[in-house]
Amino acid sequence: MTVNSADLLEIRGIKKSFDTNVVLKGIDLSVKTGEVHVLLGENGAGKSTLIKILTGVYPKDDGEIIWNGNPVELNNPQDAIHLGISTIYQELNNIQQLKVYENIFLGREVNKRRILSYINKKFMRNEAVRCLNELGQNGNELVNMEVGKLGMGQQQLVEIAKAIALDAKLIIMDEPTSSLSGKEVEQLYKVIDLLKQRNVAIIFITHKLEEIKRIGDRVTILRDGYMIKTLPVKTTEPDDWIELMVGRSLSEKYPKQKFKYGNEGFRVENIMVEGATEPVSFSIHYGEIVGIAGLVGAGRTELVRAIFGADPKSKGKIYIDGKEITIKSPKDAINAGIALITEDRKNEGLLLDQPLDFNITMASLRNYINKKFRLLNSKIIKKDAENYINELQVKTDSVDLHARFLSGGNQQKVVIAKWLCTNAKVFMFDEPTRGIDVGAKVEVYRLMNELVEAGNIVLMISSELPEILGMCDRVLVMNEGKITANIPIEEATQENIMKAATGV
Amino acid sequence: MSQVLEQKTVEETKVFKQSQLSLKKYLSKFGTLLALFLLFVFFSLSSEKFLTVDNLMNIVNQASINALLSLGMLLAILTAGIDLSVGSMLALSSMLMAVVTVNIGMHPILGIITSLGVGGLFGLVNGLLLTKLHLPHPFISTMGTQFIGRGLALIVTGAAPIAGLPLLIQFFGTAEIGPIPFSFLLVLVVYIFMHIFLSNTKTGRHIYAVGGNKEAARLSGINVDRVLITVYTISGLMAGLAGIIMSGRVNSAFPLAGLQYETDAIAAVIIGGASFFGGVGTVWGTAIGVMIIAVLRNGLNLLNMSADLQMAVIGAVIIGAVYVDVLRQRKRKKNKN
Amino acid sequence: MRKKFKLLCVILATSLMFLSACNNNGTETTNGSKSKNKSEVDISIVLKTLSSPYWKYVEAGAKDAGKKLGVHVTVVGPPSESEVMQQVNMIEDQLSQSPDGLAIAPIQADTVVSTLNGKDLPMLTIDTDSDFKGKLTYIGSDNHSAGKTAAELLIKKLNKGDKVAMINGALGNPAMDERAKGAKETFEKSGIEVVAEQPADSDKAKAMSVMENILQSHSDIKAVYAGNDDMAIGALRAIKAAGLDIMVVGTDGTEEAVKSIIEGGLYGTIAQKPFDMGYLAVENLLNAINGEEIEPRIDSGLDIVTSENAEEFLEFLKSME
Repeated sequence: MTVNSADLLEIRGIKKSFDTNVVLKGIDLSVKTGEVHVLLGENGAGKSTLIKILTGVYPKDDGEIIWNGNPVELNNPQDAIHLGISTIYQELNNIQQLKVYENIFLGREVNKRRILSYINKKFMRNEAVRCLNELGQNGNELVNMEVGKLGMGQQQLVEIAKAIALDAKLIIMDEPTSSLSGKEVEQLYKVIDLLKQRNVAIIFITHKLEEIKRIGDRVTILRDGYMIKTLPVKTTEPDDWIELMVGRSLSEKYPKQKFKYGNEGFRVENIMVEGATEPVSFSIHYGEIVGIAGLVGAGRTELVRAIFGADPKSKGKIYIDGKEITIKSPKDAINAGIALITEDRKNEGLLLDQPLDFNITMASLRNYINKKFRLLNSKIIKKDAENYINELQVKTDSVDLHARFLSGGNQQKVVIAKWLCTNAKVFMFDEPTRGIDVGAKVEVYRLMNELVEAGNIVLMISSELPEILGMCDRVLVMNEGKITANIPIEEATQENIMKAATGV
Repeated sequence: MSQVLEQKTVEETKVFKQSQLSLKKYLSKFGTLLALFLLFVFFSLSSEKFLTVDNLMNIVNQASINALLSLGMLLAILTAGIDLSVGSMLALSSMLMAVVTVNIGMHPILGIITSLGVGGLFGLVNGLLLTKLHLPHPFISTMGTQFIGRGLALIVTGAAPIAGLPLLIQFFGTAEIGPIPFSFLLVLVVYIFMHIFLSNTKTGRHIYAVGGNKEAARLSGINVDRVLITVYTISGLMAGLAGIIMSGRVNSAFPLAGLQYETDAIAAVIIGGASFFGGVGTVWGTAIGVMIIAVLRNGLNLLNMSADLQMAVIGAVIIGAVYVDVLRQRKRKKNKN
Repeated sequence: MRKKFKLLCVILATSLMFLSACNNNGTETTNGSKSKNKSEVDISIVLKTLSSPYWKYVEAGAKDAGKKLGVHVTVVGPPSESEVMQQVNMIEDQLSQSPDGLAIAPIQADTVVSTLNGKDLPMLTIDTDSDFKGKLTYIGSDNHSAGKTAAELLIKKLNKGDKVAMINGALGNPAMDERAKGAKETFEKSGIEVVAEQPADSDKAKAMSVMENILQSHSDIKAVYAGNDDMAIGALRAIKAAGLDIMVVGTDGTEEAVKSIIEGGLYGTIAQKPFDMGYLAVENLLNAINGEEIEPRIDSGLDIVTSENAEEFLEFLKSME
């Protein structure tokens, strides 16, 4: 391969293994100055590992990294930073209690000359303001604020400003829009445009295909540790990318199926969540998937948590098949056959340091007790877990693997398996496909279909409008703790959902 | 036909992968056992009295009290908590047992029930304080009860010891079956039960779940409060049982018994591989931790090392063991991706 | 994986049992005949602690005897006087080294009985007595006499009807109790009124607080007797801070107390003879080992230290360091 003089970064033949697990099998990639280069691939394709090699966190086993035409070795994160590579991770790295300028200069606090260890605040503030202004922000307004008090979008901008202060030439962004509101996402796109004008290159990792179309220049697709192809974004389509990503053609992104509309299976009447101003009521029939759309902070998660008994509710009645159920704790909900698949699987759904069979049977242990000795039947536990692993096609060698070692999509499947194991009838999904790849998403959708077909109730909270429009039969919209719209799918559009979500 | 072939190759790769990893995993998993073995070798070479039946029986006898306290401590640490009051519980339960059997003169069985009862009750209080008062961390609640318990133990007789316990209680501390101390057999039985409890019962798994991720446990329908109360009550029972053995061994109960014993218990549990963050740890790991500390103390005694220097050595071992655990954690996190 | 673990444990355990059984047989034969061909006798001494000056003097006396009599002396003790169980463990571990004789200063008399009962070697107690089968003698000062002597020392300077205060050690400590008893009886027999008697747990700071409190209600006392020197010095501080002039007598004979006497602080102290205790312990054990009869109770004696002989006493203490 000839070296293109406009190439800022070139990677050749990068290989990496962990014990016997070969994660990267020879990656070739190039990034031009000032381009937004998207990295696309299923979970487990090797994106995170590649990034960690580029930022000096992991050493590579083989291959070359060429920066501005010179081969370099990245032995630790400092090497990468000195070169001019900065990373914005999904879980932000700010110190919440410190001010914006303190975060921007974290670890590199500047001392006034001649005065020992007296920090030169004025200099740092001015620098911070300059960097923030370059990103189109009002630097003076932000510079002294406590980072913890800023919104997610602004916190992310602080991190980008930090990268500017470090004179970054390449900024790697790992799924930066997954926790941002619509406005914040637009703001980020504008900032990216500004960065491009400054000739800063960006490696952008995302699962959102529309996003790639919006800001990407080129997209490189990884699959199973191989680099498949690098394509120009303008002249290619998401379907092409998906095909290369998944290795098979996906005829349906959203495998919607129509089922027979049945009786009412689940009803919630006048639930008052703590801090809400009005009670909420809705019902779900057999045969339909109901979605709840809305902005971040609309109160959707609070609603389902209150239904589930995880948070207290001040009043409200819950009916399954017309019979009223008293729910005062998650245990009551589970006994009644309700399942809550939470939005944060790592912190609320899984025990990362326990094996898969433990995780899968965690909520239904009482079904595995040997009557004679009151002891758990570990053989049956293992067998059931293996059945679920196979049924849901979780990528693992055995059920003894600790949950920590699975990719995001597979972890989500384990959480779903946990709830299937409780023989639930009412499934409440909260952002079920967040942070998982296209292939796994389809599997989750198919699962929802199977659940409905088998006579279960399915409710889905989602902030991805395409997902709502693609999979639901009816859309509830929430805004500030109230249901503001109940739209059958034939009449639902992005516009009327957004209108109800923003209260306009 | 091809499915069968596929199945076979999957099995083969499974076996291959497992045996490949086993050497590295072996060392990190069995590191503490190896350390114990090395200590044995070292002391056998340094003192001819070490590797005798009498001395080995001394070691297990001397270790029996910490073994029981450490078991209770293991449960607390598994739930990402801690029990600083184990020493005070031991003192209070044995003092009251002595009052019941010596001062009041009741039947020794009542004394045993008293010790276990007081310990269990005290543990229950620990659990209730933590869960009902929503104190931020068991460090605070058990530190408070640590002082309260010690104060109560001193008040019982105004700081004086009570001697002359009934034979049945002395039996717990001094009886031998052949060369093997009864206390060792008792501790062994308790350990076996606890192992079965933690690995094979619903509540045992719930303990791991609460420690691994409290919120996930709660949202899976586990009654977190009930689990925590159970854990601290069991810790109290262990302290009560340890109190019986201790007073039986020296034929007296004294208010300063068990002073600072929580330190050895915490050390044993951590050396044994449990994590302060909860959710990780085993009964047999704790057993090894207990043995390492007991062997160290005994071996250093046989070398006539001054008690002050012994403290320094044991402190160094604790730091070393925890550091190995840190390395283990780091390796685990690195392999995450 | 778990099976491998269990197998390993079983293998290790059985090999250890096997090795130790062989070893045990070995030592048993040498035990009786002492065919180790050593010229030296081995004596073990377990004290309440090695972390205080008092017990360091005992250790010094024992080691001195060891040197002079050609005996190998091992002195051990837990880090503090509250570590009852650790002392018991230390006794056991000393016994497993098969010494020729054992001297013990039990932290609590009852706790060592079961460990020492009927053991087949010459044993004796120092400083604090205990009742176990096989104990040949108790070497210590008479605590009752110590208190009595201290009181007598003060009474020489007091008149009938004068008021005094007493500061005692921790409750339940038999040595302290005896001293207090001895002093109180002597005071009362001579018509001296003991208007206050408080425990201060053998602690200097506590004694100071206790003394301050006593002075609040009884500023007219003429003398104070303290169960040990630390408390005496604490009490003296409180007295000096109140600007009063009261005679204070302590017990133990520590360097700090003696220095205070020289400077005109404490009036006097009743010193036990810890060095002698240590020396006598080794000497008597050696005699017993050699088959001689020894006295069932050995009084190690008391020293009265006042301004007259304080300098001399200080010299003596320094010579032991």
